[in-house]
Amino acid sequence: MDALNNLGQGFSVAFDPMNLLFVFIGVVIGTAIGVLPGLGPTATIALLLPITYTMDPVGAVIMLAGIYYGSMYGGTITSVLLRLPGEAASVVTTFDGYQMTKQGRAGTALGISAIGSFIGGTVAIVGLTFLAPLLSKVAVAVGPAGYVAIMILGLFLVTSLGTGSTVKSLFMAGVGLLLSTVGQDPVTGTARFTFGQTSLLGGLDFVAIAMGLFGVGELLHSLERSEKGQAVTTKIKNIWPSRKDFKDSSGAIARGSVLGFFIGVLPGGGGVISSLASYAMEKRRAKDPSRFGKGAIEGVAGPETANNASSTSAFIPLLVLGIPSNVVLALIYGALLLHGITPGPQLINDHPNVFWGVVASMYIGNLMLIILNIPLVGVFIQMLRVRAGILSTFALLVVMVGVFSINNNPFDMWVVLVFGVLGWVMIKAHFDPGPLVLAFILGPILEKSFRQTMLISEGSFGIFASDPVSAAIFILIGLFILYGFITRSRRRQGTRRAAAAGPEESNTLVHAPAALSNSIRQKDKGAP
Amino acid sequence: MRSVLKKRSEMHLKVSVGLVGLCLALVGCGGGGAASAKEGGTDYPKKPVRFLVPFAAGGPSSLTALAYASCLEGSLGQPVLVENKPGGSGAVAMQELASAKPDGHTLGLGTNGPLVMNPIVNELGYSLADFTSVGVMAEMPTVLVVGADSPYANAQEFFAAAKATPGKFSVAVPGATTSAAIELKRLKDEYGIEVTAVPTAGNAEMTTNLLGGHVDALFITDHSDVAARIEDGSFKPLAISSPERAAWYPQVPTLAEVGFKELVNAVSVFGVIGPKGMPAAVLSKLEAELETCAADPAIVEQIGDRFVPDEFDGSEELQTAFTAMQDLYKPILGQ
Repeated sequence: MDALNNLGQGFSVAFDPMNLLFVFIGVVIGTAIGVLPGLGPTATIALLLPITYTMDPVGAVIMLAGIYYGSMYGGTITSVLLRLPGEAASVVTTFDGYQMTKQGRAGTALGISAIGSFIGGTVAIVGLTFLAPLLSKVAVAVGPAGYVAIMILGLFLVTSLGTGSTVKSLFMAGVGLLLSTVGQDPVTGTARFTFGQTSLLGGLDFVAIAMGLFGVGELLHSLERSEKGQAVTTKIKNIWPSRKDFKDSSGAIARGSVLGFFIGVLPGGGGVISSLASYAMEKRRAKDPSRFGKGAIEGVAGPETANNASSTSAFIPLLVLGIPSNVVLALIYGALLLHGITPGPQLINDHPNVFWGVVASMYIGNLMLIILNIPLVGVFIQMLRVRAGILSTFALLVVMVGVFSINNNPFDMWVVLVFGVLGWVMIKAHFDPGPLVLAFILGPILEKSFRQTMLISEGSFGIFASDPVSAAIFILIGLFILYGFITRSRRRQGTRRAAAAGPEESNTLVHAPAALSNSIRQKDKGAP
Repeated sequence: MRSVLKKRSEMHLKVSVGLVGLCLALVGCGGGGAASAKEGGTDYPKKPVRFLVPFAAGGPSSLTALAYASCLEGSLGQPVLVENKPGGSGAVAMQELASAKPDGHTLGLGTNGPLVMNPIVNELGYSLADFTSVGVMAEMPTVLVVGADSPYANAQEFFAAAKATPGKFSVAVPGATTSAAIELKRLKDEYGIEVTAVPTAGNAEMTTNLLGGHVDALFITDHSDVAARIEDGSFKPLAISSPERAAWYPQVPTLAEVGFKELVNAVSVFGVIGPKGMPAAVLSKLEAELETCAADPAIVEQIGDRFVPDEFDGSEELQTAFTAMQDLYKPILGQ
């Protein structure tokens, strides 16, 4: 009950009127920048860093943390309404969220996201309160070989993200991997595919690519439709999720909370990867995966829950080990350094008011966010009543400003425009940008980790078997593939025997886990 | 420290310009807006001074630049606006600085990677010769550390074991084109001890790898996180890269002491630089103000006592240091 005592102490810090104000300011700013496409938590925190210097360290971190998890709430809104990911972690939400908007279910999508975010966030804070010291061991257990395995698992999941054909998804993933090789070689530092452009030396920016392919591509696509046509598609009804919606998404929210929490603990895991993993998981578990990409509520609820859970658990490696697991936490780390506090294993003992104060403030912040967000859902969907011409122009403007803010480099604005056109072409040709964007994120981590692993093992592949994390994950991947073959050949035999002429439902590996979970479910039913 | 910077540039940290500058301007104007600008026979600065940082906001480079900027604008009487431009691994900022008007109104942070090494490795349209050195803001050495349960108690044992098993030891470094990586290469070329350098994205990743037992040692840029690890015993320091022992790790020998006389170059230098051809009056005024700031206890405390050299290194010394770095690295990197 030590943790409870400490938490009580934390609440006394967090309930200090000034700190309450900072939580509030943090979550409000976070929601706002989450809504503005391109402008994400990283740019905002970087911007506010010099201001926090004059603040008390607890208040500073409380506010910056609020911005981070607040932005996870806000990022949903434009993803759902305009197919413009408000920030990176919400890319996945565009898949089904925007489809729900087209079906007039924007309010439902936003409502379930807010509720899922609250639950995911809260589950992760409870985990942070009680499991933080334990989990810090997990974070360091994953080395380069483990990352290779995780990334390969991720790429394996990529193909299930697309809504079209598997071949097209694989093709897009390949393009994403190729694009990720642009820039300096991670081991030798030499330039690759930069064509003499200095701005390409650091590689293409993920946000610029995602904003272009999803947001600008959709804006261009919408120009083809008449104003009248758009008004019909965006008719608003059902602001509040129905009982059936809750029932459909409760499993996704529960799984998203746990999945997001664990992925967030891994360095680099917060945000995008957690929401992508949750989406892939929901799609695979679904009885009818074809609903995904066409407005499945689980496809919104799961990822939105997971990204909030992960943005909270990402604080564990920082506060317990002193290891910032992503860019935002690196900035918060910088903020603590500014105050002469070095995050590390000693933080909980040396600065208990920082650790427990921040943890307690997260409970409060999440509560504030749900109270703020639920009534705002009604306000935000009014955005769809704005004439499309005005709305898209404004959205494009905000995207350009946001993307510029990433590196203060006008080059990124060209990247958005070029990928915007590409995104439009892809919509016309029925190619899904999802696999491309995911492969683009996974590619550099895979490459760097693989080359690190090969350096460490002196070129021997044995390390993937001797490293426990990578061995476990590769066995998992192997089982997936095996199941794919078994179910496929069984189905083939079955169809032959029955001599049924019906078309084969599926002959790809992608559906193997779905088949797996289906067969498990059937077994469960069969058991007495 | 460099590692942290490197990490950030690779992670594409998002950054802010305008507002950081604005806040600074507000803070600074409160401080010394009315100070005289007519000393030293020049009316410099006539307008706000831009200070380009080739890395993302929040890291040690930015924190150093912000600290000096707030001090400089007090004495110069004009706002000094720090702009983070991490694009192109820092090359975008360096290019912009190289082509700016050399009137002292555009300055920047010059350091090993973006200023010296990157233009050797890649064709970037600028080189060290396109800049004027003003003075040193901070310096960070590199420390060789092993984990708490490592069988090697000191540098001699470590290097003896490494010599006996060429290439078996994996040592994480902050990146491919860093002084740390090059020093390990020289260890092999000049002293016949081959360890495998594993480039990482910076201190955080390196720390994870050592704690998890994925690498044998780290050649890590010294910063407060490293100091905390050494203090609590989870890192064992074996040797330090600076020419002399560091006052804060008095028990840790230098690499030169343990037998590698030439390996004294893995030190990150954060200097103030400007475009080539700055007027002598402007340069000497900036140099003098920088020296005053480097002695300001508030600045020293903010950056870290250990990282601000006790004796100020001005324009000439900084230029010599960067040139020596270039001469040393060109044959190694230019291959």
